[in-house]
Amino acid sequence: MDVIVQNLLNGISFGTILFLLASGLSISLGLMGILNLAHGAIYMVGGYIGWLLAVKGGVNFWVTVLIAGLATGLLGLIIERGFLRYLYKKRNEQVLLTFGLIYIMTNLTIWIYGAEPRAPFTASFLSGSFHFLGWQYPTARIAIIMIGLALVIGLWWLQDKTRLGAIVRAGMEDKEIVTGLGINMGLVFTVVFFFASFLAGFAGVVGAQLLGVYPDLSLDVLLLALVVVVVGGMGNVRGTLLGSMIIGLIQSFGVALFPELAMFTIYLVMIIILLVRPAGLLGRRVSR
Amino acid sequence: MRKRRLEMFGCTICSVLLIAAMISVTAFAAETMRGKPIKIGALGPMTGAAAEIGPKVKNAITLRLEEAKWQVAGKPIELIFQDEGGGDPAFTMAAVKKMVEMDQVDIIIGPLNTPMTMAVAPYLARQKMVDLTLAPVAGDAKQLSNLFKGWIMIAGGEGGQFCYPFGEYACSEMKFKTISTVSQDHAAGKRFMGTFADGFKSKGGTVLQQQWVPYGTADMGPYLSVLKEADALALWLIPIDIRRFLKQYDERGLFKKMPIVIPRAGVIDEAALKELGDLTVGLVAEQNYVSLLDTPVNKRFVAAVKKKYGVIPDFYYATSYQAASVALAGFEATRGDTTPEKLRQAVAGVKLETPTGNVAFMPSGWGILDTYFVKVKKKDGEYFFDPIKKCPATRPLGE
Repeated sequence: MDVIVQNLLNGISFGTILFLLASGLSISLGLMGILNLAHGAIYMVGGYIGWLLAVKGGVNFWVTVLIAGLATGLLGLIIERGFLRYLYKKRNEQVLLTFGLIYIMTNLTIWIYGAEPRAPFTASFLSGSFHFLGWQYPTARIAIIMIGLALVIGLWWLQDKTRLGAIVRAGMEDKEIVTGLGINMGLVFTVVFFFASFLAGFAGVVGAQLLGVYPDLSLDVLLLALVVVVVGGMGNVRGTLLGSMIIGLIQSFGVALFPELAMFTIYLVMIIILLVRPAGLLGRRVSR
Repeated sequence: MRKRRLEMFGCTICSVLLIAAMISVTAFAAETMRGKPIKIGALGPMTGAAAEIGPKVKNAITLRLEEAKWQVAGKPIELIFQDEGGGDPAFTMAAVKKMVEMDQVDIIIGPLNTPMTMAVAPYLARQKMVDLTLAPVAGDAKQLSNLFKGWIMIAGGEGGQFCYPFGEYACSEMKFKTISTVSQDHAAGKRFMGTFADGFKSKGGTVLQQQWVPYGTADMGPYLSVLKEADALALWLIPIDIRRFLKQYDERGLFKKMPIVIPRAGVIDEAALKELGDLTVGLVAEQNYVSLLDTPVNKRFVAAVKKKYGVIPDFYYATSYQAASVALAGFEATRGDTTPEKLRQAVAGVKLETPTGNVAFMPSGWGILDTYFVKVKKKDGEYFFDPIKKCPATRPLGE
């Protein structure tokens, strides 16, 4: 029973980090049709900024999360305005550019912070375990689940209850019609990319409570984010949530129950889902 | 007027060329008089998961060569350092080939990682290039000897030769009767933990569980959820994974239930101890190098590293410095003769005291090395490995 409950919570907390990471990627891919492979590197940059502020600088953890998100949002703005806006509908060039950005950001990170991996860090009041009826579970993981829940509600409200959300949803269906209605889609793209990058940096600090930060983090998390987006469906926040929870739970229970298969359980699931539903579980056609 | 300008221009060009030629001839003559330099090639991981280790390798070798004033046996030394890559043996092979065929080095130090060493060993043996490894090679010594053919000097030893006695120690002297293990699911992790478990069982201990963590695992939670409670946990993971594991282990209050022992503890250095903090106090580990070793050669080494690089040296600093020392001793023995077979025999015959302790080689090239069992302590806010037992002159298992 203990194993089941622990891994249920492990899977949900890990899945929450995947959701925080992949939601931005899914939104930018769904609306803008941009495959931003540098999304993992932006996550990593957020994590390092968080380490610098929270661990080295002693800054309050929540302030750190906000500053890291804003910093990576700004980074995303620079990338979108400076490079990606010239490459809409040019998928090969997007891949090459964003892949190159991974190497640039990784090497800049090594240059600034050194190549030493940094241990997971969290706010002091989130250290240790939450005790309940003789059972204990790390407080930081419960906090991650709460943050994820808050984000889900926030994204749902943003997407379903605001004008911006309506524009984004309409843009995902048909950009040309939305443009014809007088909406400045270039501005919408910029705002969305900023927000996606903000989410990545935000996720970098929240995720650092479990994963820590290290130079290779960008590629490691990118792979996971892509799996989640593929499983859940591109451009769909609900799909990303479903995909991240599935992957998180499969990872946890897979390791606990079938450790010999730990290396490829999530990829096996991805292959099966792709065979059955090529667009992902709740996928939509990627906007052209 | 125009003709005069052309004449002046021509004279200027000729003068510059003449001066350049004179400088080149002078430099060439000086070089010839000094003798052809001895070229030492070195590899370390500057990119990838072990990227923090490459600079340590380079720094330590550079330090040793500076101490030798960039000379050995009256000849100047040239160091050619290359990135061995982030885990791609093809990348390492390309770097090694460049050093052998283009740079024409006389000896190679590195690479660090076992898969890279195995990838380049057959080529180096064919090229009759003496190679000094840095870290322990993980694998069966007899089988690897067939691959290395005596050209690869395993200055870092074989992982099992250190882990087996540590397993014995954990059972016979630390009095653990049962143990669970968690280790990386690759060649080195399996070899280190496998031989540790063998040593533990040889003294009557029981291994309750062995878990293998794939490279790149993000979440250690599932492994902790199914961990079987034993007298102790034996742990070996790569640097980022071991940090994650120790943090999550501490969050669950598991240190109170199961102390941790770490064979091959080069994966955490004093900087990592400081980062992880009080949860590391009391950890017992095995490693080839301890900065607090009370020997004159180590004290000099620690002081030199602190002065030049501002850090306390760790295992990677020490083993790289050791390899460079062995290389220099080899060239001294041949009096600068770089003939491959002479150099190979000279290096195989080296017996040295280095910061890690005594170093010697078996005829097959395997290092005979000291190792130490240590305990993490805290004093005046600093965390350090305190040596508790020396295990001298360990040899590869089965050799």
